[in-house]
Amino acid sequence: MVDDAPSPGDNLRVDAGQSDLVRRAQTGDTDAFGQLYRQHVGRVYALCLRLEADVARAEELVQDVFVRVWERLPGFRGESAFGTWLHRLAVNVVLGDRRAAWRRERRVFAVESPEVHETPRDVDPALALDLETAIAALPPGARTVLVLHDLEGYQHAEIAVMTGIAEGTSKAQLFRARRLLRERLGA
Amino acid sequence: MNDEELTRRLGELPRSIEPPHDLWPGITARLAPRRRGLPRWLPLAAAIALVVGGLSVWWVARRATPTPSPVAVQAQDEAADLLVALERDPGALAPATIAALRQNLAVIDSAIADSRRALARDAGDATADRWLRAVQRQRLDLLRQVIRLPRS
Repeated sequence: MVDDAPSPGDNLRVDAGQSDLVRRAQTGDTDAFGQLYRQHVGRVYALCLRLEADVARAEELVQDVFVRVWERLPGFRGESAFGTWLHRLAVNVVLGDRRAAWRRERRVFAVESPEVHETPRDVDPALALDLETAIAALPPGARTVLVLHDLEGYQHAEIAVMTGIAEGTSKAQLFRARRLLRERLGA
Repeated sequence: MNDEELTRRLGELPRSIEPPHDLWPGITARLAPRRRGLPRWLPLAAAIALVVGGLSVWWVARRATPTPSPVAVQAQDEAADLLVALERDPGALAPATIAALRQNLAVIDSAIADSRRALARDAGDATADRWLRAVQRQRLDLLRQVIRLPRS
């Protein structure tokens, strides 16, 4: 699974028409930017929803992502596919927002470690779990690594950089996430 | 459920999910308009024009045949490639931008020609060689900045 995972942004590869949209959006054409939004919003929303496991929060983050894309677009030089660039930016926005939220909570509750927030969400065992629900119920750290690695195709080294954890921790979190999923879905 | 089964099911999940609400209106309300004004490279171009203009005065009296150094040839090749890239899409830049670019390139090219003649007369003229490389580098910098400009 690990090595067969899709490359980040695989489904967001740019085409010729898209480069024209990107160029127009770089000069301030909001109609062109709107077309780019419609082409990519589904992929960005799926990422935000799975990382945050919260529909309302995912919608807010999608808006944040596209506003950030608009701000950064003049600096996009086409060294990677636009979709890959956008996707990485989306991950950074979500993780950056999460870090900021954690810092705020830490100040309020004087929490010593983020591990206290790493408890799995309550899921009614009587409910028939589908995979999406089971992923949403994972502890945030394990869910993040599972989504980025198994669904989005990032490697552990990349995840370590993006999330600020050690590569070994990323591997451990993935192992934990998959074990929890197997337990919940296999019951 | 074993690991292979889990892997298979993860692989079947959709990579794209449409949001339940239209988020675009909330995004457009937050988009700041792009700044319009003088091209960002214009101050650099003006500075280059001043420098090479001064150099031209110094070199104008020195007449010789051009003998480009390997560094000069390499810089010239890259500059030519950049010009080709610009010419592929001539309508992408505003006419005023292209006119300013051509004017600055003419000044720079004149200085380059003068420095080459000086070097041809005295191949060991380290100052002339240094100036030639500096002006060619400035020419490259100018072209690179123009290439990176947002297109209309």
